[in-house]
Formats: sequence, structure tokens, C-alpha cells
Amino acid sequence: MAVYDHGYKGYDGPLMPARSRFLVISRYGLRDVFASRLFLAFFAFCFAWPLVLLGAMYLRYNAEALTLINLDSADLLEFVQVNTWFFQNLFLRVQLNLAFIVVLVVGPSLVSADLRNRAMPLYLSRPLTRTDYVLGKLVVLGVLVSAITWAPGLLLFAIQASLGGREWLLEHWRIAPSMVVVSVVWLLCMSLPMLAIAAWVKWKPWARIVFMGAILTGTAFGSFYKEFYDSWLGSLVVAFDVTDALSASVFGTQGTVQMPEAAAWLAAAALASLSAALLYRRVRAFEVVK
Amino acid sequence: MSEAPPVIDLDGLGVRFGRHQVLDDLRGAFSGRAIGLLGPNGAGKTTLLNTLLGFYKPTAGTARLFGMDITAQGRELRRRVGYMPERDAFIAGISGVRFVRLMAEVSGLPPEAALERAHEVFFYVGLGEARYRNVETYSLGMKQLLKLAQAIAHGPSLLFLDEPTNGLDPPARLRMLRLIREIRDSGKARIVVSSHLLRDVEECCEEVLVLNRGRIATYCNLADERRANRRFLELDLAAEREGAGSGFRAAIEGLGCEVAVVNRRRIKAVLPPGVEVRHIYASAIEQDVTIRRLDYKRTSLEDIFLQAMEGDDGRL
Repeated sequence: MAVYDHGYKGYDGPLMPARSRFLVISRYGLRDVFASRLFLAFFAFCFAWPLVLLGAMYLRYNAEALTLINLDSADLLEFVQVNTWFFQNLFLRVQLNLAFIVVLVVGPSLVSADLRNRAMPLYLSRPLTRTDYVLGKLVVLGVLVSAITWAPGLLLFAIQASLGGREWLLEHWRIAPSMVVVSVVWLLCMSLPMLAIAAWVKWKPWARIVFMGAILTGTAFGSFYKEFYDSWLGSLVVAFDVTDALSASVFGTQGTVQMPEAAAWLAAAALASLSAALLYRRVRAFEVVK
Repeated sequence: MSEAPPVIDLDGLGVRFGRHQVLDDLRGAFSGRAIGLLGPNGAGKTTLLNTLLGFYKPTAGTARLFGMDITAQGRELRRRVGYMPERDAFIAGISGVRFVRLMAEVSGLPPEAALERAHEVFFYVGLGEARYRNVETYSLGMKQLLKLAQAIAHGPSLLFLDEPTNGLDPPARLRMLRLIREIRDSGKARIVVSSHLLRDVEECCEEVLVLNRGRIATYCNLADERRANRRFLELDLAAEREGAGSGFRAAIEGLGCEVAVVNRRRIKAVLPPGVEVRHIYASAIEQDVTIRRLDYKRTSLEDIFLQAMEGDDGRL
């Protein structure tokens, strides 16, 4: 069926493996995301803080460079302690806040465009399952969030390990897997609700408003409950409390939130499961009205 | 050599949504190049298509496409199927060619092949000049053609078209029907057309399945029907002399035709095998009778449809 031959012809060429079919959706999703220059600029900005930290780490181990910029090495050594706190709070917490903006901006555009114009029957009439579709969309957010959280985190960790030596590495090895685990759990707990809301609301600005509204309402209600009843139970609906508790649990540090670890994990699992169920309910070819 | 399995094989297929039985005990095997699904609104045409595509799970029985079970081998089947939904379906914010390329890639084509096919199908359906435009800017007719383009981009062997001429103006409708006939005649893809427009189905289908209230009201092979119709004649006569009409009647009865006299000047005849219209003319000349009009009986799809609707519960 060449363009000059207007007769219908079938296709009998090679096919791509079915197992990796969901990656087609991810590839197209990522290309669409980076088509926006504004987003590209923001995404580049997300690497600024890791670069600052990298610079600080470098200066900390380079006395000559410190003298060039008239800094006392003792001051810097005091100021930049490269330890668990550095990676957990100074690096990951900041990056997760940026990742929140990425999820808020990108998440709704991934599914609402398909659902608003009834593209689901077109996807699902092909050798693609609902799980493939959701996985394909999650991979987009996964790649973006990973690129600004645990991936640069591991790079910083590797550089610090090479600068700090074997002793530092043995003492702080837990930081590396902790950054990955916290980032992935955070990704599931934020991305799935965002996608679920976008799938139900179908209109990008509204989806963002509803998502922010849900987080703010949860925070307000949870904070009120904690104050009024003097109970940690209110933290269950405060996204940032749950994230803090989980992070403390994974990094093995003392959290700022008085909340049992198990409760934080349960709250995260419940949020992700509920969101996945809601998303699955919406991601279907046709709505069945019983 | 083993016989090829039917395109669609319905085996007691039933679908229920809550208390509502939408499809009930559908049975039959269909092998035509183009199969029409007819029925009034709510008859279950779209539900049948959606069930065959795996969107709905059968609550009773099963169905097979090309001998493959729609439930157990759904994924493999969907690789071979193209689907043009009834309502608007596209992805906003991307160009037509990118949309069709994406759909072809999701069907399994490698990126380069998908891009090539996307361009080809755009020219094939007649949207070549508009392929770089954002799909949201397409007119209704263009969106219908776009849906057809994405359905055939991966070269399916079975094409489901749900109300393909919906909302099209007469030239666009003719174009769509021509494309469907071309795909049918290419022999590369079998086609299932769901429509409530009898004329569209009549123009491009060989077999017709009429559904009513979730059941098969009738099945008709249009090719056989047309062939059978060519044996039924209706003649208007002008006799030159007294008794010539009865002589003519006796002559064609002598050829083996079954004859019914409507009135003195009009008769109906059924031609037996081996007797052609020229034999009738020859008898007319012999009997000195002028045939003023000779018509084949025309049982239109509309007659078949109306009969099926009447037969189902005795009322329309």
C-alpha cells in the first residue's frame, strides 16, 4: 500500500514482542511531555539542587578549591555533613517536592486526553490489556520521577562514596537502597491517585485542582484531628506525614511525625490500592450501565 | 485439506448486564467476506461487536473468530482485528499521522513500519493532505475516515466497523462504502459491518445477520437471495389476439415454469433450472404475445428486515 498505490494491502511484516507493548505508550507519553519547552525548562531546573549539593560535596573534599573562593574548610565541614540526614532531608525531600510538581503537571495529561475523546476502545481492541495501559502510563511518571530523585541520588551517593572512602561507605550503605525504596513508594502513592483522579475527572485543570484539594483537605482534617484529639491517627490522611514516617522507617532515622511505622505503610498501601482500583474501574473500553 | 474455520462462530453466546439480558443464546457460523449486522436501536449489534472484541465477557456460551476462542485467545485475536467504533474516538493534541502510527505500534508494528503504514493508509482513505493536522481540527467525515485509517493501519484480517457511515454527507458516505467494498474485494480482510442503515449493509455485505432484542431474528445470504430472486419473474402482457395469453401461459408451463395469474394481463412465473428468460421471449413470439414489462422479483433487504421484525413477536 505505497502512497502511490491506492489499493488496500495487508501487513505481513515482523511484529514487536507483546510483552514490551506497553512501552510504546510510555515512549509516546514521554515524547509528548518533552514537547513542551516550559516543562523541559522546569525539568532541567530539577537538576539544579543536586548540582549544588554535588558542588558542596566536591568543595568539602577539595581544600584548594575552598581557598580559591575564600572559604574556610572548617566552616564547610561543619555546614555540609554528608550523612543520612544529608541524603534524606537535604537531597531527597527537596527532590520529592519537585517530583510532586512533575506528577501534578504530567499525570493528568497522560490519561485525560485518552478518556475525554474515547480512545480507550482503540487501545483495548488491540493486543493490549488494561494493565499494560496503566503500566505504560506509570512508566512515564516513573521515568520522570526517578530521573530527579533516586537516580541523581545514587550518583551523589557514588561520588560521595568515592570521596569519603570505604569507611564512609560501610557506615552509610543503607542510604542507597533507602533512596530507591522511598522514591518508588512515593511514586506509587502519588502517581496512582493522580492518574485515578484524572481518569475520573477527564479534564486536566480540574484533575489538578481535585488532587490538590484532596491533599489539602486531608492535611487540614488530619491536623485538626491531631490537635483536637491529641492522636497520631490524624496523620493517616496527611500525605506529608505518611511520607515522612515512611522515609524515617526506610532510612532508619527518627521521624518528625509521631506515627507507628506499620500504620504509615498501611496507609500508603491502602491509598495506592484504592487508587489503582478506581483507575482500573475507569480504564475500560466502554462503561457498562447495569 | 481441512476446511477453514468460519469467520464468526457463535456458540450459545449470551451477555447479561445486571438483570438486563442484552444478548441471548446467539448461534450460527458465518464465513462471508462481508457480514452485516442489522437491527433496530438496542438490538444488541454493538454489544455483540464489543463482546467479540473482548470488551465484555460472555455470561453464557462462547464465540470463536477464525476458530479462536474470544475469551481464551483474546490477545492473539486482537492482533488480527481492526476496530472502527461508532462514536468519535481519537487522542487529542496530536497529528493524524502520529495518532495512526501510535495505534499501529500498539498493534505490534515496529516504529518504522508503523510510520510507513500510517502514511499509506492516510492516502488510501483520502486524507493524505490532512495527515499532519491536529485530529481535533478534523471534520466529522474526516474523523470517520481517520477511524477507518487506524483500524486498517496494522493490516488486520478481520475488520469490525460499527456504523461506519454515521453522520456522513452523501458523497462521504459513498466514499466510505466504496472503501469498504474495496477492502472486501481485496480479499485481505473479512469485514463485519454493524449498521441500522439497510442500504449501506445491502451495498457492501454478502451475509446479513438481523438481531432483535438480543436474539438472532433472521440470517440471510444476500448473494443466494439475489440469485434466487433471478428465478422469480413478473410479466405484463399485451395479447395481439384472443386466447393468446392463455396459450402463452400454457407454453411457459410447458417449459416447466410454475405460473400464477394475477389478472388477464399480468402473470408471475418461477423459472426452473435450465430455463432462461430468452426461452420466455421465444414462447411469447411463438404465441404472438407482446411482453410489455418483465421484472425480476425484488426482495430487498428491507423486506427481509421487516419480515424478521414481524416474525419475532408479530409486531413492529
